[in-house]
Amino acid sequence: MKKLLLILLLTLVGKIAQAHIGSSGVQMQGQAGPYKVMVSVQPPDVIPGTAQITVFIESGDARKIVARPIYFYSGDKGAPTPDELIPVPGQPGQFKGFVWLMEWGSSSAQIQIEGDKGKGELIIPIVAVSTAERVMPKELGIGLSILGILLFLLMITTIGASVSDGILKPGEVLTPRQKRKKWMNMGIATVACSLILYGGSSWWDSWASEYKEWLYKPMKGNAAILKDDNQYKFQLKIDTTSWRKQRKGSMLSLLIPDHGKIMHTFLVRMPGLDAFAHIHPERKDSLTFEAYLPKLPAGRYIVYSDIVQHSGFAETIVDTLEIPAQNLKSENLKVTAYEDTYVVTDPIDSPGEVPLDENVVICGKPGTKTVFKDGSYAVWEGKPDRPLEAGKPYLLNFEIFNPDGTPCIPEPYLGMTGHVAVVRSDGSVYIHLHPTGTFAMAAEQTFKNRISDTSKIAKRPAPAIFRDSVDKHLARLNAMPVLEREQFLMTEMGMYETNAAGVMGMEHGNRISFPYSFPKDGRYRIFLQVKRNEKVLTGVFDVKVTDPTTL
Amino acid sequence: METTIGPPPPISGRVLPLQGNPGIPVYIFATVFASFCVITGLIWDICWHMSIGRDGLLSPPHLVIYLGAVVAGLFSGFEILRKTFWGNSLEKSRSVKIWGFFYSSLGSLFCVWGALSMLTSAPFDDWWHSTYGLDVTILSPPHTVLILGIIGIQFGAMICVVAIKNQIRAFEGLNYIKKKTLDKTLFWLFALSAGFLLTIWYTLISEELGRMRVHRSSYYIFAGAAFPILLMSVGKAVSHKWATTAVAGVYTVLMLTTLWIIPLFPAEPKLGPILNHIDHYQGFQFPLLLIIPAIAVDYIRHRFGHLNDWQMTPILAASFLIVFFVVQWFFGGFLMESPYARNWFFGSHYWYFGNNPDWEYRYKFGPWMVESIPVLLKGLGIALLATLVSTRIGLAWGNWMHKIQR
Repeated sequence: MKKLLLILLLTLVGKIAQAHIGSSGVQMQGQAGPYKVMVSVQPPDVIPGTAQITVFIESGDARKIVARPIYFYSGDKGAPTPDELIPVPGQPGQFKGFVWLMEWGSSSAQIQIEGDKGKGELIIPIVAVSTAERVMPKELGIGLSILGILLFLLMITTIGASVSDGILKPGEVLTPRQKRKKWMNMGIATVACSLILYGGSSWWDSWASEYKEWLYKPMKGNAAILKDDNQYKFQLKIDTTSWRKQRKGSMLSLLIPDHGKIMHTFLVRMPGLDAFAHIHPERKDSLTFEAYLPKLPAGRYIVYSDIVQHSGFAETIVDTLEIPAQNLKSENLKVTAYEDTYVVTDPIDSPGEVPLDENVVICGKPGTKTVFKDGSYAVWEGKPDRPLEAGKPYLLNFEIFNPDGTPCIPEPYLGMTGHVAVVRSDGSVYIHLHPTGTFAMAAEQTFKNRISDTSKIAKRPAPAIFRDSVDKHLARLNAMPVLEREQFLMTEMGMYETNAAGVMGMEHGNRISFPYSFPKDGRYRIFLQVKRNEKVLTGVFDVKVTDPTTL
Repeated sequence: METTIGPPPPISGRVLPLQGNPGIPVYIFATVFASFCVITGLIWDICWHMSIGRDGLLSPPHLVIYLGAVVAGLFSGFEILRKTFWGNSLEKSRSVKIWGFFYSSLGSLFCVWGALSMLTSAPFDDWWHSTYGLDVTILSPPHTVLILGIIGIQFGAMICVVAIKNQIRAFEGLNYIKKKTLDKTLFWLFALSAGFLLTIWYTLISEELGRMRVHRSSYYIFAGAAFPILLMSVGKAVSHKWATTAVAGVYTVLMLTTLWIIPLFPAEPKLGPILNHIDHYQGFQFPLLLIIPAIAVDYIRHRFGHLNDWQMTPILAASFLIVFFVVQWFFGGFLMESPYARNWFFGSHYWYFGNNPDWEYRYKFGPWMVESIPVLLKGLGIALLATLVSTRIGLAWGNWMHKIQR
């Protein structure tokens, strides 16, 4: 009883575990048939639960929008009939609703639009995992405790009455012996009810610990520096201890490439966020990933490595790494992938202080011009003094210009017109974005394939064969000339098909938009990557995000 | 064993004689109705989960359950307040006094407890869902609070009826015919309330008593522990030759009518994964053939009425278990394996929408669902022990119910 009361009364506000490095929401911008839409999905932090969906129609006039969940395991055939999303009053073109996510793992929301231009469809991958640990709010705990005590007392009283005056004939009163019996029975009832409560509380405890056991725990890895012919090599080894308990099995053999790479690793120097690299480690064995390190300045770095499962389940492995000083000249450095890049900029806390080097850019702010190292520049739409709001979906719009001020149309790079990495100043939020949104492209592809697959239950591929085929595919991709590879990747992601409306999926102009919603307030640094004249360029921007709910 | 209405009790100085023309108070009907609501609502809710899957606080089956809680809570609560503040001394003399202030019938106390418990479970359950996820199981701690509340209401309804029934015996100067009619009505009210309680008893352990498990001894251990306690008690509580049969009959009729009616209505799964697509409700389960051992129990307790409870226990327990085992072993096998059971009448074709309909063991016993003879015999031995204990407690409980006056 005491224990139960203690549980009821010990009240703290729920703590949200940091899965997906702070960004649990999914933002997607895309083409649903003839409609250009932006979709924002907020997955539940407890599974089973409901994901909130907001659809913004950017072009066209939608009459009816419906949504339904599609799980990887049971596919299109195992999905329920859709539910309608309701128009938001006073917000034309905006619809809201939710989908029920009952299964842990790789999921998605399929959105179907009907309107003046006919029908359109879109699928958004969602990672459905439980991340929240909650404790009962104080008021509820007190209310329930009072009810609990009342129930406890009433039950004991009722049991007492059952064996005493309850069996007396009308008008009879209890004899002293019967009174004693009543009290004895109430005593026994107290002990019995307390034992039941104790049992209930232990049951609850075991439930809570079982829940915690299944709470999403980000995949762990150990980053290290190796030496290879005087050059440093980055290595990430996945930590599989405790996997047996979590029944993760051979899932590392079931990784799939996301726009042509098995792993995307971002290295950000802490605490200034003043050095950044985007590299693509290759798989040495199922646990080990390696890439040549670019000429990053020495220091402590946070490592973010993105991987995607066969089922579309995307994860980020986080670790820290100490990089020692390197004396080799840049031109002598080997690179693992043609697309690997790095950049040095000024620290987030002391703008302007940046050592001159060949790969240095100066950090900019919204609305200001940020010059890339080849003299071309990007402008981030917005006002430098106006902070953004946490929890609000934004389109981060960048315009790219040639050094002479003419619009620059970026070349595709890893199948995309641009990449963005968003990092909060303390490293607690990280995301790798594309103009299509915050999800892994490979996950979207997985779901598109799954929908066209008619089997009711997804079959698990043989790990060794699957891994081998992925490695072969990657080797083939690496051997392709750059142009051919880009064309292949864009076609694979459904972005290179031309139809009457033009090129699918993205706008080909000098403006690139990245949909994103900052999960919490703070200072963020945005690393924008585009390709011009066959060179990957990185620009850096800072932004302040405020939380309107805590003002 | 008492088989006839006993002589009027001797009037001591302390006992108030009851005069007048007693009727059955409205709250008695209300609580029996509430008991009916909660159990039918619960069965509908189970069918809802098997067929639609998604529910909210205000889903139709929930509303039926709440209706039961509200009716039981309001009528019983009102009865307590009425007796306490406006009751005459005769009424008060027929009530139990609690906390030195309130006057109530014993059954109303259980009903109020049940309603309060159900009320408690609602915010608790809501918090539970946000903390550990939406409904995924029948038995979670908040659901247990709810089910205890439901049982409280149903138990209270039964106690309310039995108290009034026992009181009728104490009325003087009531004509025989009138007494007989009242007694008959009260017997049926009792059979209904006890039958509804038996149904929830069954529902609670129904996962252990699925047709797939019918060839495992655990099935008989659960049944032997759970059912005699209630079935034996009803035979003792009221003086009627076919009391046990009547209660088992109410259970059977309720289970059958819900099994046959609910699937007539359209429903489709709204939660993925849906491996088994359906367009009408899935029924709950064909009732256990408890009515057959109940007939045996009634026959035996009538035949051996001269024996005391300790002597009766082994006879009743053994006959219950043997009859139940024989009937259920074969009938369960029929439900499981026979193509003739896969229809609206027997309902063996109902299948949870999230389960693969092509599963190999849908219509045949899985190897883990059958036991070797020694294991089965050992299990049946345990079942017999459980049945003995359950029977003895049931008889004692029945004796107590027979004595309830208020």
